[in-house]
Amino acid sequence: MPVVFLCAAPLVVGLAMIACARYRMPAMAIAMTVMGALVCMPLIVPLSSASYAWVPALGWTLSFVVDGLSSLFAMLICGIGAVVVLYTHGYMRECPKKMTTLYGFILAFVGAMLGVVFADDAIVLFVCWELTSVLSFGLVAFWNGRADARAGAWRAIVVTALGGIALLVAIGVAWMETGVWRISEWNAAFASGSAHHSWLLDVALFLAVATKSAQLPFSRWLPGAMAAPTPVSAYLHAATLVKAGVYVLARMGELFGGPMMIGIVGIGVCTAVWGAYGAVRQTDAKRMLAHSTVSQLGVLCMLLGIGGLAQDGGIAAYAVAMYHLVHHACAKGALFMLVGIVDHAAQTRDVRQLTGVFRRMPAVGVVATVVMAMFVGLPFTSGFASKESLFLLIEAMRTSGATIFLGLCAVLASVGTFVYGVAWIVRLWGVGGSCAVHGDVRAAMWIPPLVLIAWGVVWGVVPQTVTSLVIDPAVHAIASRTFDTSMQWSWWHGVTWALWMTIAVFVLGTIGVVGMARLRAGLALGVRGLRRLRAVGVGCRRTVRMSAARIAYVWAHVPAGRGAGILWLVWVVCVGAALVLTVDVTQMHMRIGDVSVVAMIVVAGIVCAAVAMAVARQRLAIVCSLGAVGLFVSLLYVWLDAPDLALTQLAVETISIAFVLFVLRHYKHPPRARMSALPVLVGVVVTVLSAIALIPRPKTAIDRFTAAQSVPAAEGANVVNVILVDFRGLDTMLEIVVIAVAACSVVAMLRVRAERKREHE
Amino acid sequence: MASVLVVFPMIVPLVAALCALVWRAQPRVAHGITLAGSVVHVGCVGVLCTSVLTRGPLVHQFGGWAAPFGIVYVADAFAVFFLSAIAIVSCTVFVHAFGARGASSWEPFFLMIVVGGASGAVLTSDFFHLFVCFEVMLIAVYALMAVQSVHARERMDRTMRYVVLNAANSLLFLLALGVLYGTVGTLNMAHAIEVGAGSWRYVLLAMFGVVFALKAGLGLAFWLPQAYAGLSIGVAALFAGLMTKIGLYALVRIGMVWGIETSWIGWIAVAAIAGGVLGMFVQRTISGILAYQIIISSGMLGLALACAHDALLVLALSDMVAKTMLFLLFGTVARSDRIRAEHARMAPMLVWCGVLVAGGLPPFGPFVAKALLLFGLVERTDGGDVAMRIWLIVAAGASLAVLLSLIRVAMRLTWSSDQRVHMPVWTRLAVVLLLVVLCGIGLGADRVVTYARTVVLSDAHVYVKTVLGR
Repeated sequence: MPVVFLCAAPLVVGLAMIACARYRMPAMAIAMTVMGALVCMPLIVPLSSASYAWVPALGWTLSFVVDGLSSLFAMLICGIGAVVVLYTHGYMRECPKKMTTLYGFILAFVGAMLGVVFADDAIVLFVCWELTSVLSFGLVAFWNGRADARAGAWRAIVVTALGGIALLVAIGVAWMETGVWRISEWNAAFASGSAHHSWLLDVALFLAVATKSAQLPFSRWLPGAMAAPTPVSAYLHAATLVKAGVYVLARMGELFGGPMMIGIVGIGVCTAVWGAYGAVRQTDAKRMLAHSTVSQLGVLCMLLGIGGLAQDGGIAAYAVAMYHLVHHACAKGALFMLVGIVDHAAQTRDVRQLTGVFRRMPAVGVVATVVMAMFVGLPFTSGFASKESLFLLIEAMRTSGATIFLGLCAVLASVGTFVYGVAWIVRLWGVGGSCAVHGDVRAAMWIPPLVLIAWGVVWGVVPQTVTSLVIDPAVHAIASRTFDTSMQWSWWHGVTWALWMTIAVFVLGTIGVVGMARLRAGLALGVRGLRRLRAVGVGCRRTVRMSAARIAYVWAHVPAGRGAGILWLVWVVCVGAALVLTVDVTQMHMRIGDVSVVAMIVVAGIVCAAVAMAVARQRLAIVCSLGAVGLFVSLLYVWLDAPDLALTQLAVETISIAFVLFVLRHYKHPPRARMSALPVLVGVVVTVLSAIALIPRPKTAIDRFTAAQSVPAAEGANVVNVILVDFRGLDTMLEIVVIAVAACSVVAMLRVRAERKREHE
Repeated sequence: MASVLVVFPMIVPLVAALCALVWRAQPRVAHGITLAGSVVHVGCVGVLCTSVLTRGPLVHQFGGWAAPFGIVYVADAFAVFFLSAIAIVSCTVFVHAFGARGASSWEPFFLMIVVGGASGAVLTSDFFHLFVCFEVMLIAVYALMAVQSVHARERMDRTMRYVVLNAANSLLFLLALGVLYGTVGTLNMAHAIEVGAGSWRYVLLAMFGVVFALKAGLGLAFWLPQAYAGLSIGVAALFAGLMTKIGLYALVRIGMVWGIETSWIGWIAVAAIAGGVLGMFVQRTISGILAYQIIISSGMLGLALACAHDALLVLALSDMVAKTMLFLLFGTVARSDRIRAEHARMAPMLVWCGVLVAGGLPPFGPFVAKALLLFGLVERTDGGDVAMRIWLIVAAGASLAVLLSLIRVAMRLTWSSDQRVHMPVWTRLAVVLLLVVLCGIGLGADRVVTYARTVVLSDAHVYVKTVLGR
């Protein structure tokens, strides 16, 4: 139960707050209480895996798993969440009206995200996954009066919704392979080989991971999402939401086939380099951090991929990944918050205008410098440990071309991180600059980043304890086996490749910082090329769109006659093909001898009238020939001994021809064009159909029953009438309804028109 | 005599319509009567539903004439399932209509006739009677369209197009009935199953298939985007929920009688979905987008018919409810000529709830339907069937496209404007009711799915046994 409460409580409270946002309420107090409860509850009541019935018919259960991996993520979510709630209070003080909504969204997100990491049933995971997407969309569009917020939100939802549907497909495939919905059982099944990998599963699951965690080629939504309020950027788009993809990769690693794992490593490393490149180019501080998040997410995916490929169970890689994850969540969260403080004070986030801002707010500057040092991995920080472990890991891999490429890319990404991080700090401490600083920095804003960087301090003091308490259980959960301890940490490994890589990072990074201006100019060249490419893409899209619109318009505006023509054509093709291919057409045997001369004459009359109707150009002639056909048909009825039918036919023909002639008076269109082949074809198919289907028919059970029962049971001598009013009386009743409704509609139209006229006068 | 219960869903709307016609002079009373009538309709369907669930299918022979000789109404699980969707959808439309100011006093009468015809079409076990019920429905639809377009030339053209096309379709239906009676010697569905069609199977499938495919907007959907434009909100909402789905229901029934050609239906559905998505993306008006979504959902239902039967029912139910809800929700904006959609602002909460629930946000009704369809398709990919993989990807892509286009509409309506659009209270109530139903389908998914699984579509002999008693 505690797990369910942990997920549901913030979700419910949050949604309720969104719904009641118009009422005044102590939003901050509510949010703090909930977050406090979340942080404290696991300390009081131990969490344990649980399962409840949900949709037994489909096998869906509300099952949750509590293990090292989910606990690690839950710690991040609750811990950073609590800090962010505090920070939001300081950040949103100018805009108390929207505060409740923002808190509501954040709380709901906490619940959904906890659901993602605790879910064991794949459907529960999916439900929470989609919720996080939607809430992230809502948060990016928080200032929805701004165009960039709307555009960013749209891009975010397009990409994450794609991931959502892909995840659903992946879940379906995994379920088909294993027959269960439990993720824990999936891993076992795929690991033991009783379930098979397929490209569909690989691609779908990778799409889910890559969209959520902003891997190439889906990384562009994350910088766009920076239109969200800064607490949201710090929380969702740095620390938690974007790690959901990484979480799935860690949780369902077994579901990926070997080739896909290699692909993940490759894409991860490319993303890392690409993100670093983007961050170096950026001048907006938040967007720079977003690009750097993309880069670090790439590193995380690469690490998990390496772990999945490793022969020894990948413990080392998983350990580095988990370590890097925590480190990044804390450092990046703190950086975002500091940017928020600077933004608040200086009213801009453009690095070029912020020169020297730290000289005016030195305390913030010092904290920011420390965090950045941690982040770029200067020696004796947690970041250094993280980077060094990555290099050691690559070094330990089998030497091959791929490994060398991997090492090069890792170095390149680290150089990028070093360059943008250090250049940013140097710039903000720089001399000159005219940026003014307003107001003081509130406690609610500077305490949260301090809490977050405390992680680095704690790790620095007791590295082994933290590792065994936090990292190891998670690694254990991913690798699904036990081991002694994952990471033996020391600052000095001797002269190894890792050392050379680290030195290379620092040397190249320093060169980069010094030559920052030139570097930017060089990178801009590449960007221009990309822009040109994008323009071509936009042009193509417009062309496609225009032509599609044209086709859709024509298709939806088919005139009445042609529409019926299409219907006839489809009918002739389908029925004609079925007739020719499946029915023995040669069984058509009209024996001429059975037909009397009178009937032959009548039929000849029908044919002549029909042909006349077909060739006539004047409408009056067409109508007259149509009438002639009807008259000949009624003659045929006379010959068939059905005088009542003949009379009915005569009446119908007379009235309808008179009516058509009456309408024709108002009809001003020119005479019709030449007849096409379609009606002829339809006529042929109908004739053949009736010749085969209707003429050589023996009496059926129903024929015999109606004939036999007409007098004794229904007490009527005329079988046709008995059918109409007794055997199938209901049909007749409803046909009368049809006629009545038609009459009413005529009255209605006349009335409405009369009313309209009166109104106009 | 419990079997008389089966007749009520058809008779109650007709009686209510008659009363509405009598009290036409007072529109308020007429609207009240039809609302009451549709509530009674829901009640009858509910009673029928429980009865069928607990005691098995009910059969009513009109005039006491046994199955192949007279007309029988059959309330089996499938019919009742559809019937409940019809009842829910029409009831909420009448709730909306009750509050619609300035609505024509003719509207409730014609709408009620449509509901009666639809209920009859779902219940009947007789092909000719199916035709008659379609005619009842169609004549009321023609009337609604015509009355609403008396004063607008362009709209009259659209109405004419609809009438001409459907008249041609009715003719084809009659031809099919003639060939059916000529070759199989019966008009009763169960009897047709029993007798079998022999070598005529494909001809009959083609003849009925074309007729119903046009009605269902499956493949032959070119009439659809323009047909609903310009109708009043309630009428458009009812049509959106009902018309194509009844066509689909008939398709399922002929599938039951003569077997389904899975791959044919599947490919046609895929083509319909692809065309619908393409058309939806180039639409600039809300009503256009919604119309193309109907085409897409017809395609999805076609796919479900081809290969995921338990998805079919849940999908049909949630789709009918969702489409009606969307038409009611956006009708206010989509209809008004003065307010361009870009400049309207509506109740944001309702719009977002409606859009997200209808778009398939878990764990609500449309999501369950979508998941069942996708999982059903995935199950069929097991043998390495490439066609199924293509269908799966198309279905997944289409549901994504629908969600995104709905979100786009909601973004436009709630974020970027200053002009508020007033939504009448009764319309809000109707939308909320439909939302509650959709949430109910999701949260009570277990019961819905269990029920949907009791519907045996593939085994025609069950139907024969029910109707003919042998």
